[in-house]
Amino acid sequence: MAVYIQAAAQISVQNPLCDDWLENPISYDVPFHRSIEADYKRFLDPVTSRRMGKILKRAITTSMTVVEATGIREPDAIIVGTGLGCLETTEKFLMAMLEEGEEFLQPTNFINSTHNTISSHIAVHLKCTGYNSTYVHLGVSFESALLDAFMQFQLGRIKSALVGGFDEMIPNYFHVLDKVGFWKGKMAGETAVSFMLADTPGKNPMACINEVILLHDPTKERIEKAINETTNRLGISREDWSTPPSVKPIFGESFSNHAYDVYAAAVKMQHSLLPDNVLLVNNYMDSETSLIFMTKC
Amino acid sequence: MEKIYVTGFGIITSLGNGTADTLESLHRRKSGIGQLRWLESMHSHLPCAEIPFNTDELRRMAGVPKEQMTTRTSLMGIIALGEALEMAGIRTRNSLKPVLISGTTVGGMENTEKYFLKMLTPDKTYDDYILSHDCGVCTQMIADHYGGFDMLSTLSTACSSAANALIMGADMIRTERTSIAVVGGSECLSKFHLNGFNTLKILDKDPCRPFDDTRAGLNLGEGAAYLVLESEASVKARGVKPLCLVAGYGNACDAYHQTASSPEGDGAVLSMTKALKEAGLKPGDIDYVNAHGTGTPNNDESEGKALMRVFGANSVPPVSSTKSYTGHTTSAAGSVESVISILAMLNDFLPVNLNYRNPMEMLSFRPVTDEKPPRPIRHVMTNSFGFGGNDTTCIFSKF
Repeated sequence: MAVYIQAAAQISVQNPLCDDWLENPISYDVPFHRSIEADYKRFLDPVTSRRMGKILKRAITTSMTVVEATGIREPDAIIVGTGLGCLETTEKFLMAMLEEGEEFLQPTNFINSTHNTISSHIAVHLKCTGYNSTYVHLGVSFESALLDAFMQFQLGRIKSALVGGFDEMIPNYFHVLDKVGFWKGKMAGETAVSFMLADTPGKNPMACINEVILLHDPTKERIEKAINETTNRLGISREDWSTPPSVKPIFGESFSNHAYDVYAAAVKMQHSLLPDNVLLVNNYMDSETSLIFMTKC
Repeated sequence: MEKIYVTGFGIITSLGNGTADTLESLHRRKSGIGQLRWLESMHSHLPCAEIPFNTDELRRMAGVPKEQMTTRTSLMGIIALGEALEMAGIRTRNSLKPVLISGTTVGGMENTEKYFLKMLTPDKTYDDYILSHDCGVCTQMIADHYGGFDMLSTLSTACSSAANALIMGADMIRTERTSIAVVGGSECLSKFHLNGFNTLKILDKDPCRPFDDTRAGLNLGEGAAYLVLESEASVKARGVKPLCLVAGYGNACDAYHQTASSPEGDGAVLSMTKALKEAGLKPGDIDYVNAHGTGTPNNDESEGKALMRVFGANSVPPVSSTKSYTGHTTSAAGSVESVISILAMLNDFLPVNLNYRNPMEMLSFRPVTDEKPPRPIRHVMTNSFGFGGNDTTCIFSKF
C-alpha cells in the first residue's frame, strides 16, 4: 500500500511557505533561532490571531496552505506530532503560578497549554469531526503521528489525512537544555510542517509513503532486519534504496524536526532531485529510531 | 476482522494498588476522594483523589533506586504495568518484544513546577530535571524499567489520552506490526493542572456528583492503568487464557470548543457510533456504559443527551461514572475506566454511581444505584472525552 503526499508546507528559519531553502538556504551562526513568521492575515483575523500562540498560528497557516493546495477541505483525520506542545503558553501559566502564586491565574493560558490544543484548533478551524489525535513521543513525535495516519489508511478507515509536526522553542527552555548540553553544538530551531496525505495521487503528487517503522533502543541488527523485511515486502531490493543527507542542519534542531526531512525528500523527489526510492532514518539520542520508506509517484 | 484479546491489566488509583483493592472499593462503594495529602497547594480545600502512597513509598513499591531520576507519573506507571504484565504472564526481556503505547499530559511537570525557577539561575543542581519534563520520557522510564520493549509511543489528547493509546496499540496488532501491545496511561496530580482546572471554575468544593442535578464540577484524581492486548495467534502460541475481547473503538472530534462539549454531544455520538459499528454490535447489545461523567454541568448534560441519541431515550443501558470513586484521573482515565469496566463485566456487577440523589430533568435515564445488573453483562462501553473535543469510546466483550 502507498499513501500519497499531495501537498506539504513549512514555516521555519528558512523563508516560510516556499522552497527558497532548496537553492538559497539562509545560514545562521547562532545557537538558537526562532522561525521566520509568515503572513498570518490570510488565514486568521487579527483578533483570533492575537489570542493564539506562535505555534498555533503556524500550525493553522501550514495546514490551510495544504488544504488550499489540494482542495481537501475536510480531511478524514487530523494527526499531530509535537515533542513539547504549546511551550510558550505553558511557560506563561507556569511562570505566573510560580512568581505570582495560585490566586489570580487566568484560564486562557491553561486552556491553550495542552499538547492537543494544536490538533483541536485545526479541527475547529476546518470543522472536522473525524479522527483526531496527538503524539508526544520525544524526537519521533512526528513519525508517531505519521505511523498512526498510515495505519488508518491501511485499515481502510480514511481516504485523506492532515498530518503535521509542530514544536516551538522559547528562550528559557533553550537555556536550561543548553545548560545540560542537550544541543551538542547544533543550532536550536522550531518546527511547523503540514502534509496532506491521501489514498489517491491528486493533481500534483509529491511522493509516496510506503512504510513507517518505529523502534525503541534497537541494535544495528534489529534495524537491518526491519529494513530487509520491508524492502522484501515492497519488492524493491535493499541496494535500490538511498538515504539522502538530513536537512536538519538547514532547519535547526527541534523535537519534531524530522518532519523537515520528510518534507525536503518529498520536494526533491517531486523535482527528480533524488533517486526513486528513499529511506529516511531518524535516531533520537540513540534510543528512539524511525524508518520511513518513500517512493516516487 | 482479527480478534484482539485482553490478557492482563493493572491499575493503581486512590482506591489502592491493584485490581483486588479496586474491586473491593467498588463493591463497598468506598470513594478515594478526600483531602490533599501529598501535593502542596493553596487550594487544599478542594477534594482530590490522591494515590494513598507518597512518592518515596511509590519508589520502593516500584523498585526504583533513590538516586535514579524519576517522576511520580513514571512510578505509578511502572507499578500498574507490572501488575498487567504479571497477569498476562509476560516477561518482556524474553523474545516476545511487545510495544508500549502510553498516554500522559502532565509528564514530568510535577518536577518542572518545583525546579524551573532554580534551573533558570546559574545553579546547576536541578538542571537534569528538564530531561524528565516531556511526556515521552515518562514512557521511556516505564518501559526501560522492564526492558525488552520493541517500540514505544506516547499520546496526549488530554483526558482521552489513554483511550487513544488503546486504539494505537490495537491498530498495531490489526496491521500486524506487533502481536502484543501494552496500552494505557499514567498521570499524577500536579499543581499546574490543579490550578488550570481551578481557573476554569469546574472543580467542585465537595465530592463530585456525576449525573446529579446539583452537580457542580469534578474532583481531580491521579492514577495509572495498563492493559495487555494480544492477537489471537499470540494467545494460542503462548497458551494463555484471555480475559475478554477488545470489540471495537471509535475516535471523533467534537470540533466545537477548546474546553466545552457541544450542547447535544455531537462528538460523543460520533465516537460511540463508530465504536459500535466497528464492534459489529447494536446499541441494544451494550449492557453497561462507564460514562466519562466528570460531574461538570456541561459534560454530564452533553454526554447524557448523546447517550439518549445513540441508545434511544427509553433504552439507555445502565450508566455510571466511576469518577465518583477515583476522581478524574485525566490522561489515565481512559485505561483506568477500561479496567473498571472489564472488572464489572468479569465479575458481573454494575459499579454504583456515588453521590447521586437528584435526577437531571433533561435526561430520560438515571445513573446506576443498584449493583445487581438486570441481565448478565456481555458487552461494556467506556467513554473518554478530552479538552479540544477529543472523544474516544472503547467497547470490551466476553468471548
